[in-house]
Amino acid sequence: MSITLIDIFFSMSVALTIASALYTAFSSNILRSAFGLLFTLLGVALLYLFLNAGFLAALQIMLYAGGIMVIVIFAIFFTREILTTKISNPRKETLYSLLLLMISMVTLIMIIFKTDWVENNQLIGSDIRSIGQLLLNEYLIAFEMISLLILLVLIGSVSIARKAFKEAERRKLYD
Amino acid sequence: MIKLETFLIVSAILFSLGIYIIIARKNVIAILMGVELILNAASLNFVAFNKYSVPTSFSGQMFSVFIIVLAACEAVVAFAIVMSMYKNFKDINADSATTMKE
Repeated sequence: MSITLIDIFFSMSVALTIASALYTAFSSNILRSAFGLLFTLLGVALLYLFLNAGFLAALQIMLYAGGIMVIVIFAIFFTREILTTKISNPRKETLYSLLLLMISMVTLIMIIFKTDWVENNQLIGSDIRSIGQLLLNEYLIAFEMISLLILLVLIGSVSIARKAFKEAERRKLYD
Repeated sequence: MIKLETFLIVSAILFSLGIYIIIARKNVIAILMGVELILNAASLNFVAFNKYSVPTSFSGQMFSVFIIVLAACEAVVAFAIVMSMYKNFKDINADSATTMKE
C-alpha cells in the first residue's frame, strides 16, 4: 500500500484538528484558547473537503471562522482587560474532569472499532446543486423556520444587551 | 486511510474535549467554546455518515447546514448574556452567577 499525496494531506488536516483542539482545552490563556479553536474549525473545514462537502467547507470557514470566532474574540476583549488575559482561563477539579475525558474518549473509540461499518462507495454528484434543490423542496419549512429563528435571535439579543446597559447606567447614577 | 473510522475518531476526540472544557473551565466564554467543539463533532459525524452510507442523498449535509446556522444563533445569544452578566456581576466566572434576577 503506497502513500499518496492525498493521504499525507489528509493526515496533516487530522493532526491540525486534534492538536489545536487539545490546545483549546488545555491552554491557560483564553485568547490562545480562542485561536486554538479557530484552527480546529479550519481543520474541520479541511476534513469536509475530503467528504465531498465543498459547500459545507465554505460555510464553515465563512460562518464559524469568520463570524463566530469574531464574536468570541470580541467577547473576550470586551469582558477582560487585555493585560490580564494570561491567567484568564482557570480550571478546577482537574482529576475528575480528566478521568471523565478519558472514559468518554476511550468508550467512544472502542465502540467505533468494534462496530463493522458498512461502506457504500458510490459515485456522488455535485453537492451544491443538490443542497440547493433540497433546501427549496424537502426542507423548505425548516429553511423558513430558521430564518424566523434568526430574526428572533436578533431581537432577543439586542433586548437582553440593552436591558443590561440600562441597568448599569441606572446604578451608576444611583451611586 | 481516508475511511469512515478516521472521521469518527476525530469526531469522538472533539466531542470528549468539548465535554472536558464544559466541565473543567470556569470562564463562561471558554464554556461557549466547548459547546462549539461539540457542535462541530456532531456535524462532522453527520457529513461522514452521509458520505459513507447514503452517498446519493444529501440529507446529512443539510443537517450540518442547520447545525452551523444554529451555532451562529447560539453564539450571538450567548454573547448578549455574557455582556449582561459582566455588567451585573463584574466578571464572567460561571461560579459567580448565583442569581438569575436581583
